[in-house]
Order: sequence, then C-alpha cells, then structure tokens
Amino acid sequence: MKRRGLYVVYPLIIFILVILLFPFFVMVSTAFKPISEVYANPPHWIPRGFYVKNFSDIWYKYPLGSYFKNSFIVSIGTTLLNMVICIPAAYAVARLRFRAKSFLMYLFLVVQMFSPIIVVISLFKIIALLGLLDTLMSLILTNSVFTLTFAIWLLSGYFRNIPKEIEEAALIDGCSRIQSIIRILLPVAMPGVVTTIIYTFISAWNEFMFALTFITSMDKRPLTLGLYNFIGRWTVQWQYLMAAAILALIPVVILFMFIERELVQGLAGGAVKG
Amino acid sequence: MRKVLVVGLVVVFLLGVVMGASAQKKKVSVLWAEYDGLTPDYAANLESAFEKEYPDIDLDIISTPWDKMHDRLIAFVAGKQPPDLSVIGTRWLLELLDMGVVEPIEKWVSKELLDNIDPALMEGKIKGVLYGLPVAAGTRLMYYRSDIIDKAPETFEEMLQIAQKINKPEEKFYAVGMSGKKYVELTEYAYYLFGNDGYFFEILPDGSYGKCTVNSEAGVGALTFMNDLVNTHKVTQPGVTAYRRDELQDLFISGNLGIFFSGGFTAALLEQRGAQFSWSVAPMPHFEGKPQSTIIITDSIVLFKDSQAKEEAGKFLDFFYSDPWRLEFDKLVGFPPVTKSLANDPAFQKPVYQVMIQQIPGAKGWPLMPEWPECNDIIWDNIVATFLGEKTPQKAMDDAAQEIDSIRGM
Amino acid sequence: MTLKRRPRLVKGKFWRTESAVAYLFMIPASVFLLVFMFYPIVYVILMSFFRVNKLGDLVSFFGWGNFRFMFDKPEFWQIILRSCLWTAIAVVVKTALGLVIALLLNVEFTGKKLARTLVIIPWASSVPISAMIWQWTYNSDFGLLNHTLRTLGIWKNPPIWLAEPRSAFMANLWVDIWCGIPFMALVFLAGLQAIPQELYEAAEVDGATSWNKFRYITLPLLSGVLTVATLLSTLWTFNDFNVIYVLTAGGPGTSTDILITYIYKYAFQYLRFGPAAAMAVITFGILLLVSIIYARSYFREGVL
Repeated sequence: MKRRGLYVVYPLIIFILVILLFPFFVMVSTAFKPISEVYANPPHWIPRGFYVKNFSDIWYKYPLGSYFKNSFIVSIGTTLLNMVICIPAAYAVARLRFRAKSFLMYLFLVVQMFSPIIVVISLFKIIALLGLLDTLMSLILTNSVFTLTFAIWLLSGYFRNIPKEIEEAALIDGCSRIQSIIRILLPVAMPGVVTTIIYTFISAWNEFMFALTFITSMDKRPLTLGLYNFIGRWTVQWQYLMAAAILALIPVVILFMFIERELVQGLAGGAVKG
Repeated sequence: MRKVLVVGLVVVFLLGVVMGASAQKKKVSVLWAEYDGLTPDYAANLESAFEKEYPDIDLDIISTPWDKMHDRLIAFVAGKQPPDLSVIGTRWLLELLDMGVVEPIEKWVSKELLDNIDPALMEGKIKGVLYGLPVAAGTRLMYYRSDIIDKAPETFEEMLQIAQKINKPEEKFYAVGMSGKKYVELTEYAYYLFGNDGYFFEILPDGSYGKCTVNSEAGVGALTFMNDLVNTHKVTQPGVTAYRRDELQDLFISGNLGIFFSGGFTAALLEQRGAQFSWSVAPMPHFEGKPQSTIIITDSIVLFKDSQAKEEAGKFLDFFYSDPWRLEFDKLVGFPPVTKSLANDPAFQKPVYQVMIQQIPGAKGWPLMPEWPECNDIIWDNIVATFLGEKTPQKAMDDAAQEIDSIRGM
Repeated sequence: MTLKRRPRLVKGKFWRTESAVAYLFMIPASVFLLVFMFYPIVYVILMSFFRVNKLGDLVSFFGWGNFRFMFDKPEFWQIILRSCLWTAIAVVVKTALGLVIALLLNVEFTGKKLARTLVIIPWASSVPISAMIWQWTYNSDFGLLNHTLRTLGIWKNPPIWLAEPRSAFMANLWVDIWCGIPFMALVFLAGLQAIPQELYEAAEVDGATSWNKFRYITLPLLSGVLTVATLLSTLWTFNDFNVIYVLTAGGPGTSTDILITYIYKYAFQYLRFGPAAAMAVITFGILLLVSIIYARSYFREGVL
C-alpha cells in the first residue's frame, strides 16, 4: 500500500478507536478511583492515585474465581458443541444438494426471530424436565441453540466461496469425505471458522437471561450474573462494577489475540493457486 | 462365597440407611433477596447455622439481585418450579394471590413469632388472612442539608419558600431533588399525593378499591405542585426525567441537593461515603391544612402452596426471626426492626430510625391490587408527559384515571 | 457450475446419494433445534390466540382477541413504527461503520494486530453491562461524556441525554450500534480474506481507482457475507431488549419503547401473557417477511 495512504489510515483508525473505546476509558478511570472520587462533581478523568483496592476488594469479597471458572466452562462447552453440530450442517448446505435445504435454512432463521425473553419460561420447563436445572449444561445447551443459526449461515456462505475443486482433488486421491472436510476445507476456511468460534464464545460468555433463570446456586454462577452483585436495589457500586467488568472482558480479549492470526490468514496459505 | 454375600448385604443395608436418611432430609428452598447492605456471607452463615440446628433439613438459600427478583420469581412460578419461601415486595402479593400460589402463613409459624411482630407492619394481611411476614419495612422521609437549612420545613409550601432562597443552579446546587425516570416504584408522586391527603383509589365500605382518584383535587394538586417545582419555579435539578432515585441519592451525597426524599438506606450510604457536610432527617412534609402522611413500603416473605416442606419452612422462619439474626439483618440493611423485641435495641436509636418509626401510624402503603404494576406505569407515563410539557396536570391525571378504570372494569 | 458427484465406492447405494449424506449432516443441528425450540415457539403462538392466566396457562380460545387488544392501544402503531425505525437505522450504521473499519484493518500497517484486538472490546462485555457502563457515561453529573464535551469545547451545552424523548432515542441507538460494530467488523474482515489479492493487482494494472476496486471487486465478493451479517443483525437488533431497558426502561414515558420492551412489560411486569404472546407473533411476522424478501436475493444468486 502506498505510503500516502497510510497518512489517511492512521488518523482514521485512531479516531475510530478513541470513539469506540471511550466507555472503556470511563471504565478504567472509574475502577481505579476510591468511592469518594467516583462521585466527584464535576468528574475528572485521571484518578488522583492508582487505587487498586477496588480490584482486591471484589476479589476477596466475592467468589470471582468461581464465576470465571463457570463462564469458561459454559463458553468453551458451547463453542465445542456448536462446532460439532454446525460444521457438518454448513458443509451440507454449501456442498450438497438436497430438497429441504431452503426450508431448513429458514427454520434456523425462524428461531432467531424469538427473543430469549419470549421463550425463557418454556425453555425453563424443558430444562426442568430434563433435570438440568441449576447445571452449567443447561446453559451450554441453550446457548448453542441460539448461536446455531449464525454459525450455519456464515460457515455455509464461507464454504461456498471456496472452490469445490480443492476437495474434489482430495476425494479423487482417496480421502474420505470427513477427511476432506477436516484436512482441506477447514484450514482454507479458517477466517470463517475463527469468526464463528469468536462469535459463539462471546455470545456464551456474555449471556445473561438464561443464566439468571436456570442457575440458582452461588457456586454455579457465571460472570454475567456475578456482576449483578454490584447492582443493588438502592445504589450501584460503580467502582466495583467497573473493576469487575474490566476483569470480565480480559479473557475475551486474550482469546481474540491468540486466534486473530488464524482469522486473517486468508487464501495465502490455502491449497489453491491460480 | 458366603463372606461375599454377607459383605454385599451389609453394604446394601448401609447404602439403604444412608439413602433413607438423606431421603428423609426435607428440602427447603428460599428465594432470597440481596439487599444492598447485606454482606454475601450473611446468607451463607444463616444457611449453615440453620442446618446445624436442624440436621434433617436441607436449606437452600437462592440469592438473587433485587432488580431481578421479580423476573426470577415469575419464571420459577410460571415454569412450575416455585420455591418454598420467597422474599417479595409486598405489592407483588396480590399478583401471587391472583395466580393462586401462596399459602396462608399463620398456622406454619410459632405463636411467639407472630406476637413478636409489630402489627402495624403486617401489610401482608389480605382480607384478614396473613400471607406474608414483613422482612423489611420503612417509611420514606426527608433528608436535608442542616448546614444550609436551619429548620426543616413542615409543609410543602414552606419547602417551596426555602427552596427558592437556597437554589443556586449556577453553582450546581439544586434545592429540591425530584426523580422522574421510570422505575419500579412511583414513590415520588406518592410523597406529594399522600401529603395532600390523597390516595390512588377510593376505598369502598367493604375495604376494596373503587375508582381511581389521581384526578381528584388532591391528586391534581400534588402533580401541579411537582410540576411547578420543576418547570415554573425551577428549583429542582434539571432533566428530572433522566433521574432515578438512586441517581438522586448520589446527587445529594455529593452535596448538590438541598432537600430530597428517600428511605432509611440513604443514611447508611451517607456515612459510608463520608459526606463532608451536615445533614439531617425530618418527617415527610405535608400540604398546609392536610395531615402528615408518608408512604410505608414493606417487603414480605411468603410461603407457597405447592411447598412440600411447609413445616420445615416455618421452622426456618422462626429461626430467621430470632433476635440475633434479625438484629444483624436489620443493622446491615438499614431498616428499623420489624420485631418488637428489638425495638429498644441501642442500634436503632439514631434519628433516622426514630423519624421512620414515628411516621408509621399515619403512613399509607401501596394499593394492594393485582393490576397495580400496570396502573403504576400508566400514572408514571402521564406524570412524565406533564414534566415534558406534553399534558397539563389535570389532563394527565384524567387520562390516567380513565385508563386505569377501564383496565379494572370500573 | 454443477459438477457431478462421483459416487463413493464402498457402502450400499444409499450412501451414494448426496441427499442422504446431506440429511445425515443436518440431523444433529436440526434435531437439537427442534428439541429445544419446537415447544416454546408453538406455545407462544398458541398463547397469542388464547386467554392466558397469570400462571401462563391457556384458559380459553380467544381468536384474534389479544391482537385486537394491542392494536386498540393508540401508542401501539407508534411502537411498531419505532421498532422498524430503530432497526433500520441501527443496522445501516453498524454495517457501514463495520465495513469501513474492516477495510481499514485489512491494510498493512504497524500496530494492525493491536488495533484489531482493541476493536473487539465493545463486544467483549455483555450487553446489560455495556448498557450500565453507558448509563454511567451518559450521567450528566458524574458521567464523563458531557464533561469531556464541555471541557474540550466540542459541545458547550450537551443535552441531558436520557431526559428528553429524542435525545434518549439517539442515546439508546448509539449504544446498540456501539455494541454491534465489532461483530460487523469481524465478519467483514473475515470476508475480505476470501478475496484474492490477485484481483486487486490485476485491477490496478488496468488503472482502477480505489473506489472502482471497492465497487466492482470488494462489494460483489462480500455480498454473501454482507447479506448474512445484515440479515441476522436485523433480527437481533429488532429484539434488542437490554440496551433500551437498562438505559431508559422505555422512557421517558413510552417514547423509547420498542416491541420487545413492550413484550417484556406485558409478560413479566403485568403478567399478561396473552397480549405479550400476540406481540411476539407480530414480531415474528414482521421479521419473517423481512427475511423472506432479504434472503430471496441471497438464494437467487444461484448460491444455494
């Protein structure tokens, strides 16, 4: 890219990042202030001192470690389940011909037209029937249901963009279909796969409604529910809420950092040339 | 071979005993509210202490953020998995009665407990039947800056005069706090309505609720006064429709309000956040010529009809309402005690408690009707329309009363 | 181009057919979905045509009664209109900004990895918490937004955002957009990776401008991903409950209510499950219509 172009890109990126991250700066500013400073009127950006006690307070007073653990289990579980169910389905939609294709695709879409709020009580009855109330598995299952649609639609679209020839070549060489998917298609479709993984993980990590309804014991609470400890009936403990929210987004950011390389691999590393 | 058989039988027998013993353990689940001041280990300690005293009862305290209490309760009840006990805002009791899921509680708790509770706080008594025991109860009162205001106003008219003198918007100091943002409770309007000797509904001779009376002289008068404070005299903070009561509270604690109305918890917060100014409390003002009356808001704990462990639930209530546990609860949460035995405890002699207690006889509660949440919203929306200048107070309250009456079939 | 599938050599004839394999691959997802969503969706539709008691049980057939009840309310049409307006504006802005950001992040520059990681942050918090953070930011006394606008001289007298209907609507809109931008940027970035560099190079040789490259190479090759992202975003945005409920609870008054917040109130606050279900069915109808129109162009591209 010409160097002239970079003069446009840098300021634009910085401008956009500042606007996007404005609330994040607010979070950081608030999290490092003691309560007396939080309610300064007018407010100020830079905390007077580097007050880390908010973080230690919430860590010792509340079982944050347990919240994190539960959120991880739910998010990783959902992502795995999703991948196992959706990759075959997306492959079928992208590569195979069958009559119920449009119908099933619409069916997956229909599910997204009903907000969790509308179906939560019925889902509650189903989960109770399955004996899964107050288990993390209930969250894994319900989160998977609601992230299926995007996974299948995106992955199928992504697979379709990849020329069939590369798998054909493998099939001729004697690969089984499953092998051709895992060894040939998926690596080339990595950006799409990575997008789906991130989407599923974040959706599960941030899910609140089902966690509130299905999880009752303290030791199974995920982070989204745990953060509500700081939102009281008569007051919100902003400094604790901000501190906890910062901690809560760290795993997502770290995951993204690791997986980002796969995202932008593109066809450069793919098996098709010319 | 025989040895194996004997060992096997013993094992089976022991297993049976263990399983039988645990099968005999009754499960009691309590949907518990996370009050602001309550430390997380209060519930944990309560649970283990109770289980120690009653080893054959398995207590499950389901801690819930207060804002989500109602959602969770509805999900559990409509999802056919109600808890045994639940803390509720007493105004929800009518919904639950309408759903037919609550059990009269009197015969499941000890007589000592019933006698120990202040009868004035038994809001959970509907048509003579007691469904809920009060968990927390408090009247709303006036907080004011005693360094700026020498004598607390007794009437709203006095308050207006004081407000006009002390209001300094250019210094970001506002005389009166007014909340206008929709929140669960319509308290702001209730303060002025009750202070004008008004009520939301007419009370019919048989004790039931008749037509909506927010458009009576008292109701419109109250709203007109509120609107004047905001829009005519401009002695409140600007943008009232963006303020919930907790944001108003923060404004007072940071020193920007002269007077505002709130509950007992604000006093605890003022101390906790180290307020740098002198403040004091006083009874809720009233309009000239009208009797003093404020709103009393109670939370109750109710028992569900479908509970399989009603006797055990009663035992938990007796345990929870014992002095040491109630004392700690009341101190942490910031409300005056509901039990007579704690009334004279030194912890509750502070002015804020005294004022709250002295207002109880004249205080009125929320209307106890199942349609109240809808009525609450209708009135609230019309009040906001008035603040925003879209309707006059009379029209607003007329519209509200008309809509409410049609919902209730009056 | 349809290529003839070469039959697999082993197993019986059944496994040779494409359809059989396809259905086998589709079964886990479809069954999973049906097990969990069939009953809830059918029940909601049933509830909309019945009188429902406060426990959520069906009582008696009511025909169109619940629907008529909602349509009789004067503000109901406003709410439907507002929901559509809310969705349309939010999705268009999210898509546009997401696209711009994806294009920028696709450029080679130092700090690219850092920029990409930072862009994900608005999405990394759950929506209710993000809404709380924005509520704190919008606070006119202690929040830093108005304070910054004033001190930097950008806006001498910023409004108290959540106090007036119009500014509250925009404030809500911005938060929804803010939460949704990273998703769009991510999906488009992934989509951009599938466009071969050679096409751009060839176009440059032919003397194409940046705009031409964008219009004739990027957009068409992104169209699949664009359709999926915007379609799903439309469905999600229409039903975005948390942002509005946390920030304004539909207020001031009902000026920022959209269908989903209205549904919540009727179901969870007023315990009127019948009308709430009717509104859910209306939502479903609107979204289904939108999806059919939308997806038709997607399906028409010979793509499925």
